[in-house]
Amino acid sequence: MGCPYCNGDTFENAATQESETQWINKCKGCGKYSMYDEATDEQTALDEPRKSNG
Amino acid sequence: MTVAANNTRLNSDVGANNNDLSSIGGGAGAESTDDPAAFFYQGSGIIYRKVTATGASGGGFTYTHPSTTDMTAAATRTMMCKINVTDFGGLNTANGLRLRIGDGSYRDYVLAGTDGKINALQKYPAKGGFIIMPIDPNITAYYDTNGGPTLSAIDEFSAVARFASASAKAENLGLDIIDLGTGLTITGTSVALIDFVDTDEGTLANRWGYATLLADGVFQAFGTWVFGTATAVTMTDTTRVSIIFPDGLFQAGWSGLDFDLQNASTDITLTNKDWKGLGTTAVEDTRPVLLVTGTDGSLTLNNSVFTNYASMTFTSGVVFDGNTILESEAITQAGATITNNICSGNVNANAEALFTIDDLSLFTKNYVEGDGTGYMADLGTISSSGTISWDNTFNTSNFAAVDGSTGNEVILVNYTDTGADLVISVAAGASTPTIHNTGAGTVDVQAGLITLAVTVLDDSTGLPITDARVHLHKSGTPATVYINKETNVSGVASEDIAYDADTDIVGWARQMDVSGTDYTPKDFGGEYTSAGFSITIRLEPIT
Repeated sequence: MGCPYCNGDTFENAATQESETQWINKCKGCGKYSMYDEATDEQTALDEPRKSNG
Repeated sequence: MTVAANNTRLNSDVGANNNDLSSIGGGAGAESTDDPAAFFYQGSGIIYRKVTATGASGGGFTYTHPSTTDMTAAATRTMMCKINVTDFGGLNTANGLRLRIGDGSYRDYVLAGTDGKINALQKYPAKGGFIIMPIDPNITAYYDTNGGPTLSAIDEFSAVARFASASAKAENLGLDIIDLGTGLTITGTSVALIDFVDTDEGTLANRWGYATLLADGVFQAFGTWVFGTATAVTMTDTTRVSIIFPDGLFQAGWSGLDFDLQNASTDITLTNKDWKGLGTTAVEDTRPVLLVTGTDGSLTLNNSVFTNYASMTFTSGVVFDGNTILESEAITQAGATITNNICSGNVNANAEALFTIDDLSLFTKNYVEGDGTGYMADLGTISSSGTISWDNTFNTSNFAAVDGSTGNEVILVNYTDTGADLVISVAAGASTPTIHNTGAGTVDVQAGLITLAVTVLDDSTGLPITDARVHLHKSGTPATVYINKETNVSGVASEDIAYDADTDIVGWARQMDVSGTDYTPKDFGGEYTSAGFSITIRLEPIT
């Protein structure tokens, strides 16, 4: 599942955990943030891009 | 004892690699600072990540090395990939596990799934654990996708997993230390075959993957195991073991055995071994190659089985005795003694020879089953006349029954001397070979030979007389001479002739050279039969 903004599939290694199954990732291509949910294997765009604290 | 790895290790400090990682797919990133890690093969750490992705692009991580490596160079073109998926049972069946080699773009390889390019990669091993797989990105038939990386400047290595059903609660995809190389070299005195395994898999800090243990007494060999260099190696290993050369994503000729006999002190004997290749020619010829170089040392390979070899090339330093060769081809004698071997299922094509022979006197007592295609032995070009002995057997049903040029005669030879015949004398008990002669000379195969032998003794002492002259011809036909030569140190003069019919023969023996003891000549006569002729003549010394 790739970046919802640029469809790239490579993210920075550091990620911020939002919940037990959700992580915020920063795309290495476009630099935008999105949310990955392990339970659904979905990568969704964040309404307001947020910075990772990872 | 020294076992050296012909190897370049990239990420020697796995624990510091977190700074060089990126994620393929979202989720938690990869980890390389756990030390010891939850699972690993080499050392105490690994790069690993929790992956539960089910989408086509999968999930995983990329390790980016701080410098680039030329993966077109012979020494570093093959990656010894060591990879593990702990919850492998849920992997996608088509392409559950991939390895990528790249520089920003990449070529990727399916390591578990029906998209795998070789049979060995069609599914994850049922018992799980680390997959050790050589990957050569230069071979275009192996990759699944190709983004066009510059193989002379590779710095990225990625592991990607894709699940049909994922249940991982922790890191489950791991890529252990990245090694690029060609195999192992052993030197030293009184070494043993298991030293390869003990130094590689048996040493936690090494574990390159070239020599591992599949079970007790069953070795897995990747790359080339080299015996000896300019430095000698001595090895007498009679332990019963199997050495398996698996298939893999590597270049033809990368897998096998290399015996270097350049040092006169090198002395190797390997007995009771099962040397089995599992490579194929389906994509790339990944069958093992046995190569001997140098002639000063010695190598004895005996009482062993060699299966599925692309080629075997010997030198005069080799004795190859009492082995079974199965499903192999292109065996070059080059002065070696090759005797008492059985060959079956050989796969040389028609008009190609299983053996290339340069000294027939050292190629004896071998049996070749044959399969109807190809020659048993190529004798090369012979330019001068004479008699050579043939003392081998074969299944006559699987070679041409008459001389010709169908490409499956027993012997291929280019005999060029038009002045006299080349005689191939068939030894007792040997099969009579058919000939494909490409030269202008004539090859005469003489089978069913009988021996006419005259032994000359001193009648006073009973000792053999050396250098006595013996003459033997057909009775009533003096021009048909069978023996005209001097006796040897055993007092014997003999010749082999083709049997025609029971024949009366007459002759004489004398030793009267006015030097030392002379003897009174004596005439004799008799008859040769299909069993030959043998007589002892006692000459009286002249005092």
